[in-house]
Amino acid sequence: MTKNEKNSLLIATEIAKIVSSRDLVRSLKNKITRMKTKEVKLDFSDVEFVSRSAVHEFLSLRNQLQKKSWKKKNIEFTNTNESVKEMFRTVAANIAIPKNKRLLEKIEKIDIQTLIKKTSNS
Amino acid sequence: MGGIQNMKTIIVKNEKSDNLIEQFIALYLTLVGVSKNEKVTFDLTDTVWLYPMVILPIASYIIKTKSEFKNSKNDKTKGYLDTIKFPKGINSINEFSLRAQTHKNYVPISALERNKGLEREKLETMFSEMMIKSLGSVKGAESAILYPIGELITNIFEHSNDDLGLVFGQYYPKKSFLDICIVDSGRGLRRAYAEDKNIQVRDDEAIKKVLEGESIKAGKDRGYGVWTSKRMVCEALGGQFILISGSAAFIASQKKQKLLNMPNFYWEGVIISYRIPKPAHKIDITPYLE
Repeated sequence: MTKNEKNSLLIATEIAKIVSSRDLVRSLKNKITRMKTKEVKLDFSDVEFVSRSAVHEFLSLRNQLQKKSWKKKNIEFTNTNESVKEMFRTVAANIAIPKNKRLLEKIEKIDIQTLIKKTSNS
Repeated sequence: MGGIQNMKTIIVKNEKSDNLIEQFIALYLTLVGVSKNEKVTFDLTDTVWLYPMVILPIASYIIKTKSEFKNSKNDKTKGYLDTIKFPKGINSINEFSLRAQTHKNYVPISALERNKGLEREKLETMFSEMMIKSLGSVKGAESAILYPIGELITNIFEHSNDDLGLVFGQYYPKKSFLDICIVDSGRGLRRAYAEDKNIQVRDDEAIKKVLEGESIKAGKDRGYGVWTSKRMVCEALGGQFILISGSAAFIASQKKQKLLNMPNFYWEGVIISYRIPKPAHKIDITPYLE
């Protein structure tokens, strides 16, 4: 077993180079829990992009594993590219201080027949 | 008896122009009056060119209801539909990879299956990479393009309760735009609010709630996906964005937003279609993430 295999998981290999699905991030939980080390690195080398939802799930996962009284894990996110870093920072900031709910303004209500007429005239 | 003769035949017409709203109207006119899960025959005989917004919902409908279709009599259109593997698409990364090597300008319909887990994610990655490649390299554009694909596909497996999501995209080099369509035939937004949050709303109200960030799931920092995707498409990339669920639709461009009711039309699930012009300058997605 290499040093890398002992305390880190390569996300590009475990999931994909573009990570978007929450369920696949959640599925890492068992794998991480089974690791013998308490300090676990999630290595984002070669990961091109992580969706907002997936980042939210990574942060939730870290939170859950850190709170455990048994088999507690400290998760570190490593080798993130600039876009992945930015996404983590945005989501983490919004979890800490959520934005107010948006209210949709300037939205025109129109029926389909009017749209068809307008489109055929334009 | 049974078979093709007994089914309602729906003639799929050519869109009047390549305008995304024209395609939306073409899709509406194709499916208006079709009963829930009614088995039909889509007659594509006279179609010369079909865009993702029309092709993909038809493909999804055929898969779900086991409906049938008559192929185009135009050889090029027929060849195109064969190349993109209409209607069932491709669900394996090996097949996708082979197709991508032989047909560099045509990306097949990707059939993303819930139970395929990692294979599904890798297939989505391959699809996304093909979309980026088709638009060329502009700093920041990659994230802006990947963001809506990731968010909108993950919504299928988080909220729709459907086991299959279809995604399809086509870049038009002469017109310099990329069309992407993402479709599920799940429970739709209205039912998702009713079943998961016990909120009873109409289809148009459900769309409004999604756009206002009322997440179907509990938790902080949820409910951003659709709205920020729409902002990414319309504001960061200067494109157009259309969402259909049930009997309602939302149409947005950089400056205008419309909410529509469509009597006698019902899409069980969600259809999202958007158009991205080829990015010409550096894009910073940060202001649109919220």
